[in-house]
Amino acid sequence: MELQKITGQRVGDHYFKYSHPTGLTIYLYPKESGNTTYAIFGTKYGSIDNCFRRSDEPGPETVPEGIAHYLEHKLFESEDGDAFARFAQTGASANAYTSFESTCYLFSCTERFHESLEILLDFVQSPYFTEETVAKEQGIIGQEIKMYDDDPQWRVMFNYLRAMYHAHPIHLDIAGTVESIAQITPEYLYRCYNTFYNLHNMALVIVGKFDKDEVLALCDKMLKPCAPVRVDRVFPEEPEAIVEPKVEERLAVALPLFQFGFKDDGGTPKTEKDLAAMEILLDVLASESSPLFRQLLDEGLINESSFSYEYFEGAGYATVMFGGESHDPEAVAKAINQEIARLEREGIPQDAFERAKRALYGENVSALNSAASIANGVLSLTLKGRELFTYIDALATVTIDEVAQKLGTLREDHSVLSVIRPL
Amino acid sequence: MTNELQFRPVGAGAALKSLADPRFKTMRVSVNMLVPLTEKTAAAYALLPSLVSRATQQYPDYTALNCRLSELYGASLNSCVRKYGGWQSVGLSVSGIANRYAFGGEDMLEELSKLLFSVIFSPLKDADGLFPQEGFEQEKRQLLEMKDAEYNDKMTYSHQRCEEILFQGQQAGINRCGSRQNIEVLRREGLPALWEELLRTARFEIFALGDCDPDPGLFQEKFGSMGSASALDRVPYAEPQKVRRVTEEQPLSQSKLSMAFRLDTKPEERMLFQLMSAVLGGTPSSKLFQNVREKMSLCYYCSSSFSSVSGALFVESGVETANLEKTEEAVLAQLKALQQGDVSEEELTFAKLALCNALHSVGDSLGAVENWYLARAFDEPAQSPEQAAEQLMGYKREDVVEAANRLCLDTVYRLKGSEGC
Repeated sequence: MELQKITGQRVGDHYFKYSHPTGLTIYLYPKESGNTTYAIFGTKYGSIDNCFRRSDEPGPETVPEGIAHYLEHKLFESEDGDAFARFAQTGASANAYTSFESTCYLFSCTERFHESLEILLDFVQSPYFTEETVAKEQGIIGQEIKMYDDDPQWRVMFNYLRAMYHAHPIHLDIAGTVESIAQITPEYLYRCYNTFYNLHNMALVIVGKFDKDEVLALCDKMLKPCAPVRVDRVFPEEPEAIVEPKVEERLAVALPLFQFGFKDDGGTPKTEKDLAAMEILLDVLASESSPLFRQLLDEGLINESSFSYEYFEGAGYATVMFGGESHDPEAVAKAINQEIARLEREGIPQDAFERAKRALYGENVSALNSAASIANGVLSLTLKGRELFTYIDALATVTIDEVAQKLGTLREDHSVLSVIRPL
Repeated sequence: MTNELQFRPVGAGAALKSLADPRFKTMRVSVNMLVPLTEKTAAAYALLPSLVSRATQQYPDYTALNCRLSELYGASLNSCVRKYGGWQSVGLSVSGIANRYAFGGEDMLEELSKLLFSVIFSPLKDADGLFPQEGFEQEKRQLLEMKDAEYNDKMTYSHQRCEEILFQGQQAGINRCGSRQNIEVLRREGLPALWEELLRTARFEIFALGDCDPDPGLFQEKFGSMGSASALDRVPYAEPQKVRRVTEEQPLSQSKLSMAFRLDTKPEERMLFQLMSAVLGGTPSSKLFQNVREKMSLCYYCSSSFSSVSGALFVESGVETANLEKTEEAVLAQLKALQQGDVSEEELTFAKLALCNALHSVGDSLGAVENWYLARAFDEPAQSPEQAAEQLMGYKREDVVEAANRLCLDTVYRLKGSEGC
């Protein structure tokens, strides 16, 4: 049994990585001093995986939208009751979520960790779907979809993605639509389960208080061998250009919301250093200490509680986006474009670059307080082929030139403005 | 928790609660000022903490202050307005990384406390002794926009409307930031005097938490003569008469149902009612989740929450417009079942274990420790989360059933989604 120890020199933490014979990659991050232990079991299977090719079969296969999320709901049920009831017996707080690129099952507990871990490993590996149980979920997920339909932040984001992406499934709603989920059958659920819940396509992360040997012994007992099948994502060709530069919708809101940003090259995989360079650029460009933020605030164009920015990227998509509430979204977009042009002309100020590095370092150290944030961070990085401490180190070593290069990806002719206005 | 929270009075109206705990990589110092909610002062007191923390004498504009915070490894200086029944809590806090991570060798507690004390005791003012015009305009605008944002979020909006109706005409019915009208009429001229009044009359709850070792003497020196020793009271109980029903319409695809129950409780019964709320609708094994969601497939969420200070329990859900009545009936049917004793030992144990898990996790987050002990100021002597867990485990089925029988429906608020949108 070989555990690889991975140490973060800058933050003084470490964790262990272990490749289990079944194909599962296991990460064990000790955090002895806290009360909470957090475990998360995830598969590289999200809402964008509606078309895939298995390494043991010839053709690509297309399935209805919303299956990853539907599976997440249904996996909690088994022949002898639901997993929530089993977790209730240990007192663990259990949950699950589906994102664009992953589906994750998790619990946090302060006692009886091993029992809860056994439940987690068991129920995620024990699918049970019937016509009846699948039909029952239509109403619940239908209401979940409708809840998001009324959420202006959700709407402004998906309108933005639809205006930016012609073909890439990132523009599809995570839960699918009321119509697409009506087509979901037990057969589809089993088919997708058997394809994506192969342990070679999954990872388990545990953060908190645990005994390494006991955890691995339990994994040996619970994990079921899997054929070494690889799944490849199949995406339609995505043009470099956007669909339309502006999209608007009216909803029952009192103050308009906007999402504005730039389409970046989604085809090239990004390294930890690419991410670090972009994070620093965004801090220099739009953090609360930036001239742009001050200008937008002084002109009454944004507010502190809602304005945000993010480098949102993954398999086949990448975009830098800014969002928030504003009485004049067009003016916000114009100011952002002007500030990018100014930085291109005048260069990135050395002091702002140094400040951004310090601020991002501090934020990352702070995030390591929480078992939940570490576990979710390690899992989402690993499913994208990245590593936590390499990212934190990259924030310290990235150069001002590498940061400046990223400015070139923020092209006005590749920008989209999505706005939700009051009725 | 590895370390115990230390309580120290630092003046007649101020107490310091500190926890020096090196297992955290961060520290947090906060000053919370508790005052009764009034129509006259709520909006001004909500505006003032963000106004005073916009800039300092040493860093005299928004950008200069934020650059300083970035240099301090992304430290934060925040304001926060909370509401507990008829009380408003006006808070200012600083947080940042521990000294051992500050590679520039700064004493983080000293740097952060300096910023916090300067905004409280010597906020930036103009030549006329007023808060700068520009900052005032910006903060007032942002407070109004926060009101708009609450309208945009239909779950929040529906809960707030229900609470407003429940406590109409009472102190507890005042919004934590006052009304839109109260904010609109705010003028810069009266604010410095109101800030002084807040410092003189509030009850101060101060926290210094995480990997830092605060000097109580310093806090005594700063806060010894501040505030007043007000006793924090709870919302008085009034037996509901007729159920208040309000339905409003908006063009939404999903309707929201918010139901409010009153209950006559004593401070020491807080954990009993938390437990009853957990059995009814606080966890995935609760009656509402298992029946209204899982068996009847009526909704994605249907949950209950209990406020001890307000003596109120809320049940909220999002449903098809056509199912509003059916859902309300289903909620009342589940409550009735609980009142009639239809609750198994297993359901009770599940709720206890879920609550204990949450209580034992409090000590893992500085924000959660602060939230816990700030709320405990209303039912002193303050219980630790561990003591609360111990008390909780002692309750029996009969206790929970008896508690459920004290619930009395007061308000049903429905935000009805109109069709065809």
